[in-house]
Amino acid sequence: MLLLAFALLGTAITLAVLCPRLFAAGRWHLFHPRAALTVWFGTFGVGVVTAFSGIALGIVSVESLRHAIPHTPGVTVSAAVWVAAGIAGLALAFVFTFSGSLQSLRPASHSHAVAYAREEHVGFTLVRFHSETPEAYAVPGRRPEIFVSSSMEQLLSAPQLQAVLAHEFAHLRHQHGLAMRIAQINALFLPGIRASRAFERATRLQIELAADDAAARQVGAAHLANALLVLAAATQDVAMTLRAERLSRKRWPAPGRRRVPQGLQAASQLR
Amino acid sequence: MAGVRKREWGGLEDEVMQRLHEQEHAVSARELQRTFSEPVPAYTTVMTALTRLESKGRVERIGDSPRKISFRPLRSSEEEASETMTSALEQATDRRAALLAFAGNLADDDVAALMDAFGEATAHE
Repeated sequence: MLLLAFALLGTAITLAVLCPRLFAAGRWHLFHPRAALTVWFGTFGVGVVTAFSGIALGIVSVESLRHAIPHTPGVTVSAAVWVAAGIAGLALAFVFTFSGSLQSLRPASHSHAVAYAREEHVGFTLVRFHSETPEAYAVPGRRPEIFVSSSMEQLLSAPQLQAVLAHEFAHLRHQHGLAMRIAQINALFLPGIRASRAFERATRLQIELAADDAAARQVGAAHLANALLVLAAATQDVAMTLRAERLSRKRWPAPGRRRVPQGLQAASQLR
Repeated sequence: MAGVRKREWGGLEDEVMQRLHEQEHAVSARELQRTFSEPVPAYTTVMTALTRLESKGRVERIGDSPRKISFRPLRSSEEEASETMTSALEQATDRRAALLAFAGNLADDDVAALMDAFGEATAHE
């Protein structure tokens, strides 16, 4: 049983070492972000289950060994179990204490923003606010919201704005906030570990690209790419130019096969 | 048997505020109740919502006599929207939810990865 425990722990470590190298190799993950996210989170789940199973099995087998051979150094073994439990407790306390200070994805510029409209749509509430910065963001939660600045509305055409909203809606619909939080807490648990940094980084990049793909399929890649280029010119953000270029390299469904989510159809009437 | 919830938590208060903003003058709870379409909340439910809104500083009670009490919003709908937005953002911080922005989320190494893959084409433009 002890051997099986070591095998499980070994598997978990091997996954942690190999996966970042395997998954980050080549460019496939930039063209297939949804598949990359599935692979990353699937492997993460397998790794966590394997590691915890290995630890639990190790504790059980050591304890059973202690009962089978009463004169083994039982005090040492019991102490080891308690120390392990203590470390796990400290780690949990650390996460709960500091998870609030995790790097937020929240932009800093909205602190003085003033909202001038709140509109209920299917699946989200659209909040429009005055701001000179062209920005949009989604707030997940029980009553999810998408915020769009007046500057963004002025810069973009109606289809482009709809593409931006579709991107934000994809974040809400596919629980990207939760995915990012899991990756951040994992990085907090395992600071300095290459695998946890790679997992956080991959999640951050892939959720953006996956949301781009969802919006491109629903509203049209050209509208989203044009929105990205307009905003890139206004903000000098090279990342948006590169995202637009990525969209132009992929093949997309014909316009007749687009399915704009019900909640976003009304968004074309903005402006 | 537990009843079926007809609105989300806080939904009635939002609806009451919306209907108060639509009125030109202060209105009584009974008058406000008449503006609801199905499902029409009970008079006592409307009164409870108004009392809660008053304690939150969103509604003002006018009149001393119990038969002549009327209510009016303390802020315009635009000011309310602004207030709601601030609360939403504060709530978002409280519940430790990540805000997912359209731009600016990517770190330098993410941009570098994109640049490696797609940078040539953008450099030629």
